[in-house]
Amino acid sequence: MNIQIQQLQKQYSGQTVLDIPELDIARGELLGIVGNNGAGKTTMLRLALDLIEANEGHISIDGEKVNESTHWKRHTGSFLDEGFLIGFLTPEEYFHFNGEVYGMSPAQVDEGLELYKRFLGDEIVGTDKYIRQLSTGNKQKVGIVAAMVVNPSVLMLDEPFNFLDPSSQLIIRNILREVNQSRGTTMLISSHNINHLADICSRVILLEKGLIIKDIRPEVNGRLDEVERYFASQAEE
Amino acid sequence: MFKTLISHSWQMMRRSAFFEKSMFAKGLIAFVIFFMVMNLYALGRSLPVLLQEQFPDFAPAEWVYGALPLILLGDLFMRFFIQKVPASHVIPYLHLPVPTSTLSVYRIFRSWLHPINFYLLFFFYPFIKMTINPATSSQELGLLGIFLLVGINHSILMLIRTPGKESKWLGYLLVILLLSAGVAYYMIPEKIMQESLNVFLAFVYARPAGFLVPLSMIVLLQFIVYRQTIKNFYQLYESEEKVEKSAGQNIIENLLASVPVYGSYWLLEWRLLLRNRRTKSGLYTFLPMAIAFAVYAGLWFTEQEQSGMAIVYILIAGGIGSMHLQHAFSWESHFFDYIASRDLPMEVFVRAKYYFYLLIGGIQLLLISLVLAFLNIDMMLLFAGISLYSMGLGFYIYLRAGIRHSSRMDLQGKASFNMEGVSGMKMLLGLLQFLIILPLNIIGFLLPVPHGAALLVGITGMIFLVNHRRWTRKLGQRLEARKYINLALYREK
Repeated sequence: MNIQIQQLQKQYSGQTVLDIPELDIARGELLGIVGNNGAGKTTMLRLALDLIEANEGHISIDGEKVNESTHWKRHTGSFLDEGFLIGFLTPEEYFHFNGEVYGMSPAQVDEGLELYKRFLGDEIVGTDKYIRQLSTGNKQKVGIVAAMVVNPSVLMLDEPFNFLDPSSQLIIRNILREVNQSRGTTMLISSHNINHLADICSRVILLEKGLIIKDIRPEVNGRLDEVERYFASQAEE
Repeated sequence: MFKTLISHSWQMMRRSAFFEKSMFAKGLIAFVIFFMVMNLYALGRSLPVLLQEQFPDFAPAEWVYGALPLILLGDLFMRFFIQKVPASHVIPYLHLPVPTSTLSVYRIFRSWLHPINFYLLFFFYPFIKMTINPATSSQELGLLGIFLLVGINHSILMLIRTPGKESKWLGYLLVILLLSAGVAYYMIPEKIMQESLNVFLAFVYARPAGFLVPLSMIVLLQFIVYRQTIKNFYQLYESEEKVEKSAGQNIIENLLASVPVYGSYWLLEWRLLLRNRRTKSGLYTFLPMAIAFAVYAGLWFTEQEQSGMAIVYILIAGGIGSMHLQHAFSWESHFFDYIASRDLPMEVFVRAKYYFYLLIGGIQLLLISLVLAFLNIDMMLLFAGISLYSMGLGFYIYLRAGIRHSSRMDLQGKASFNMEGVSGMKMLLGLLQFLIILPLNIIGFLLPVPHGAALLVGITGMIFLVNHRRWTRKLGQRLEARKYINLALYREK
């Protein structure tokens, strides 16, 4: 599924926090979103998920404006923050509920979870803990897996590498690449980890104060040198 | 899907912090709830007899059914402080392919389950049984009618608590209408009482219009709530995104900071209260509520009549402290690691906190006393006694119980009073102050001195006030010794 952004603007208290005149994300593209804190990465994802209202413009998924229907939700998996989790459920219950709303049976969900077994480790499933009792890193894992286990055509993740141990970061990075390549899932992933993004993304946009200031394709440019130079220059200023 | 959401509701309740407490704590809480319900029931059962004795010329039924506007106004007033509309519960579902219409209906359904929608029935059930003749009219329909009237109140509050300006305006307009009915009750009492009575009679005589009008109102208001909820789901997220104005140091902060020794702690406590949703709402609502309650009590009751409400008064008198100290050492537990790893003497930390709430409690007592000095001097003495009790023994118990506190609470949650972050032991100890005051009150009334109860509870409080340096020092030592356990327990959770 492709994603289109047209004349998108979001303001808070008269201050523009996101301003994207046009952005097309092709089907199967793995788009990395980078930028310093407050650049507008999360706002962009929240707008794409229709969780906040745009002041101007719109985002469409497969030609369907996200603020005008909810059909796109059936093909979109997402995890932005802990607010997406249901703290009083166990991880298994949450995965099954999540599968149910996407039309999957518990057996299908369990089968799907096999792919994420190594990523989840042994501290999450089968421990009888509620999600609210898990560590931040394990909550992050539950959120990511819940978003992915439903085999969405579009996947949106906000800072998926945060709070994860190095091994888990590498595992999820590989899973994301594999899923993107094998299923053609369109992915929007924001992160501060440029190395991970350089490894898996087919395209990276750099946001600064709500504006896209760079649009790079790592497979063409090799690495994300431009992005690294940008952050280095920001640190020196 | 709706069925699944309902089951989530059940799971949410079943798995709440309350059910994680020990069996004894659960039993005790269940007993307190049962006690309160039985109080309402007993009131409903005994009121006809009491009214008949006091006012033999009036029928008890006329008194109560004629005062429905006042009862409903009181119910609505209480709702503003107690009833939370569970909007936040739907946030985790917003990104999923769950229709917003389903979520809106779920939100409405959840809100109807609030205990505040049912408590009046425990009073009216026996009262109706005692005052309505089943041979000529229907007691059940009378109860249903009362529930519908309460439902209008519920719908008004839902309107006000639903995001969107339109619904809020309509809600406030209806509040003004109800307030007008309350004012009219004092200006033209006979007429309003008669109308109120007619409304109730329409219920018990099964007149269709009697039910159709409130039912239509509820349906209409809930439909508006339903539409507005769908339309304004954005605002649930928008509120999180809004940039809060950074607070500059103002006069109060400067004043607090200038206090020697305790100033920096007071400033921290003040900012803790003002910069979190949960604590801020408690701070802003409790002071006016306490004064309003004092006016109400001062106007209508004598000291003798109020003695049975001592439990309520503990919460009112010194109320801000009672509201916030129940979470003492749990809300700052988010930065307790900071405190524990710095050279901050715990004794001063505990004492600063105590003085802070003592100051607020003192201001509250002063304001309430000023009001009651004009209205009802007996009540002023009782309030003063209970305030001293709250600020002495009450605050001690809260702080003492807080020492064992290892849970951390979400300060950004909106509810101002709940059990989250309160350990079973702390809650049990907290309940002690309610239990102790009852025998004290009884003994006080038996004393052969005027205002015996006020004096006895006041003196009990004063003993703790006078000795506060000693017990705050001990609590500081205990907190210092306990910090490793608390920090370890938190990390294990």
